[in-house]
Amino acid sequence: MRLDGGFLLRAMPITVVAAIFLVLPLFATGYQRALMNLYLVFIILALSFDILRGNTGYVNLAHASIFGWSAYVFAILLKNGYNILASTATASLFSLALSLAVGAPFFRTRGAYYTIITLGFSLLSYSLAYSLDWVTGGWEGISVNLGDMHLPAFYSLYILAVATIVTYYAISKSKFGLALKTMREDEEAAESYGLATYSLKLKALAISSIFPAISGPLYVLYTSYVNPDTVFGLKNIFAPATMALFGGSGSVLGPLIGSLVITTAFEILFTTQLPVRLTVIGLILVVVGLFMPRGLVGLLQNRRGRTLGVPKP
Amino acid sequence: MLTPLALLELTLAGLLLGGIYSLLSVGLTVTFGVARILNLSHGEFAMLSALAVYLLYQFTAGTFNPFTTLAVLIPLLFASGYLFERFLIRPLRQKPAEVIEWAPLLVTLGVALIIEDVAFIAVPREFGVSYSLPPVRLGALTLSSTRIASLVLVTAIAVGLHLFLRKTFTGKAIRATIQEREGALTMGIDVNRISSLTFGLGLSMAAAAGVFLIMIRGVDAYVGLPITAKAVAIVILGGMGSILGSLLGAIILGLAEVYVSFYSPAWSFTVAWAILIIILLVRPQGLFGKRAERV
Repeated sequence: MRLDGGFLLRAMPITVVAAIFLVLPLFATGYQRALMNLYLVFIILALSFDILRGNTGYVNLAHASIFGWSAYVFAILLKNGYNILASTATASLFSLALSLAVGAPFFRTRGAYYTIITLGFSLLSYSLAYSLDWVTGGWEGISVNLGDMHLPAFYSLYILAVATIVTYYAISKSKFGLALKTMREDEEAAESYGLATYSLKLKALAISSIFPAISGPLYVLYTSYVNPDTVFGLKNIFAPATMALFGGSGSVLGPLIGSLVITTAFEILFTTQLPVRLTVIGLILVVVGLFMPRGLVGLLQNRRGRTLGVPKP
Repeated sequence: MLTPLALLELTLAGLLLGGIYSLLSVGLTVTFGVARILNLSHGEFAMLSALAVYLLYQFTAGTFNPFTTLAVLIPLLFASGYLFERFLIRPLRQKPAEVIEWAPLLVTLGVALIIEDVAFIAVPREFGVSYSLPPVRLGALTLSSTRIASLVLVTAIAVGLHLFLRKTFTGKAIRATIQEREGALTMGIDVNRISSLTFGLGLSMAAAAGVFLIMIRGVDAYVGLPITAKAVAIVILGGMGSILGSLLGAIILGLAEVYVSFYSPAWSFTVAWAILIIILLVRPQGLFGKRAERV
């Protein structure tokens, strides 16, 4: 990673925005703090989803369910009297291991098959969270009493979001990232050039899963509640992919903008109780899928004739 | 207690549920096979057809036989499927390979959400049809003849589909397109037309499934995505694009669900998914999938 003047200049606006965001929650109400935390959670999920998708092309729909498992394990451990730190660590490690254990056989499939099988895993997670009701509480879920943890959760999530952005950027500039992109273009060719594609994919999955694994417990920290619909619901399963692809997969800016726009849209639609809110979301999805193959950032890129880092499909 | 009689009834119910699932999942697997695109709105069409049966049943104050709606709904949904492929799936297929991996999921999910919303506005509650034929008595046995009739009809539709795919020219062209799209194209098959026909076929299977489904359980506007999820599970289980695999997978899932729900309803879906994951860990290509399936 080169730290020349151009980079610093380009990093300036985002740094200023980040600094403002850092002090904002101190002057916010409870609802506003929760909303800011939600933004951070989705920024982390969308960006870390895109570490795998943007570099290797694999659409991992099990991404959000790793977040969900981590949230559940954290809540269960907390309920059984373990402290926050130990629960967070155990939950994160458990769900990271789970992601790799199920991810390894899934990587024997490709393209649409991979996407569908990972979707299958997410749906299994959802129904397991219902069925294992003596540990998960079934549809009632688990509430943990932690008091008001909005601020600690905010700063932890903030650090994690910055770490996600830095990791994303570092990978895209590294030799490892180059190897992943070579693989995305043509897996057989990459293999014949001596790249160990399977282990590369697993490494990329491991890095991308660290972030949902850690953010799960942080989410429970401020909501103090978890149930199958809030973490494994279809809205969540598709959220990281939708946000990253809507914003523009393959660049830091894309998933970042995508998560901000879509979280805002969801918040507006679901707080106003419009009768047609699903139709609005559905129409957005259809339009993005049919007419915006490179997402919002891709549109800007076309309009202004300059690159914002989103690769051509 | 599981008496032999209860076992027989459960097996009958399981076979019927499996039959309904097989109509759904065969429909999904053929559309996936020809287009290599997973239609997440597949289950919505079953829900729409169930809704149509319900509305007709209400409108006529329960004086008609719901089975007769099949004659209307199957052609109607065939036409919808044809148009669905033409205007939503075909433009997607022409996009670069990288986009094809995700864009269809967004588009079909979007369509699913829109359909759910519209259906919920039409009927904002759970709906069902309480239609039953006089039961059949065989000695000590009393069996629901509605279920038997459904089972016979489901089997007839499945066999009809099988014969269509095996014996007719169009059916063979569909199977050829599933096996090797480019190869079929070079053999002079109009794969675009075949894709449209297949979507028509797939959605009319979903329509039939919807008619049978509403006769055995209540349905609401949001049942579409869970139905699609089950069909997806079966399609993965059977090996994606494999018709025989889907049939078998559907029967396994239907029986498993009914047997398990006899003991604990909460577990029926989980057991189905667990079977799926275990099979996939052993055979990632599914029961009848080809080794190393590539897109």
